Amino acid sequence: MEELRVSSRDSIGEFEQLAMLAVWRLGQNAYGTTIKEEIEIGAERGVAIGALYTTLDRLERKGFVTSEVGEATPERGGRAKRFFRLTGSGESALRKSLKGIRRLTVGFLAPEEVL
Amino acid sequence: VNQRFTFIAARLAIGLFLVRGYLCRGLCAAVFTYCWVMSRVIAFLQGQLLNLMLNLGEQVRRFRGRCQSHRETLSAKRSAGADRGMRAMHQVARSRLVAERYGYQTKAVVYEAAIDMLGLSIASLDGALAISSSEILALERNIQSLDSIFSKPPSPISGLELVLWMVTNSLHVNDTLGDFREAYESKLVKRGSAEAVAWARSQVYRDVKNRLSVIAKIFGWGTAAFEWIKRNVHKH
Repeated sequence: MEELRVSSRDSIGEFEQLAMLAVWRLGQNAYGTTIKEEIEIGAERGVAIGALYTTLDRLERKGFVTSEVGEATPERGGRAKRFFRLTGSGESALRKSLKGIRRLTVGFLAPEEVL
Repeated sequence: VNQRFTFIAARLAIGLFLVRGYLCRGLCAAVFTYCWVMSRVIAFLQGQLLNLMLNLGEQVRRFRGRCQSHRETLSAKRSAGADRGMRAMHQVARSRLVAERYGYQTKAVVYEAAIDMLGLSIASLDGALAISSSEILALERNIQSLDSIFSKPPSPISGLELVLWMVTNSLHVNDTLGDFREAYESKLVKRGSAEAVAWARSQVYRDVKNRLSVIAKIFGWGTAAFEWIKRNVHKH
């Protein structure tokens, strides 16, 4: 059986999982607004922008995501977008974390409930 | 009286919150003054230390010369078969030189401690500079984002943007305000003004609630720590 134990620094919380999954799903277009919408639609829950950025900053410090600043746009009031991307270590940490949850949810959720 | 006191306290708290930029600027000025004073102190200490070390170097060089001449005289007398009185005099001279050596060793330890102190001062200066540079960056971001709110013509969400600016961490205040404005503009086009403003209101409410919960958490930790200290202090 694969070793699932991770240090507290590398462990991923529930909201962190959602943010990382949203970043992965959005690919090149992952920035604040789109990540927030992706989580709100996918997880059916409201997201505070400040909380989202705090989480993304924490993930960046852990080395699970990287960010780069894009061009400033007029619809953002002349402010630049900050694009996020999942790193290799972030992807493997997320995979590990989700595998553990999936193993534990076997029998609890019916297949049609997952989708 | 209580009501009046609460009212004054609340106004004071809000006032402090609104002038946090000026407070931040004051902090930066204090840090800069500290850095300036510390740099002068360090330069003075460096000068003093250099003088002392040069003096010590000269004294040690002379001491070594005296030791060498003592050794040479002693070996010459030995080969010539010196008498007991002469040997005793050399013994006294040797003891003096040994005592002088201990003196220099003690001085070296003192200078080493002074160098350590200098290192500590420089490290504290480094820390203060790092804090001040990060504070300045945060202040710059805050001012830029505030300027971007006021430089635009007033819109139905200008007030909400200001509230969001107040409750957002300065690290990502520009990103947050940019996302907020972009989402609002998109909703304005798709759903109309009323719904877009309602969305903006709910969004800001959510962020304020989130910020308050963080503050409450900090207060919670603070209270717990205070209680712990109180209990332990009473115990001992």
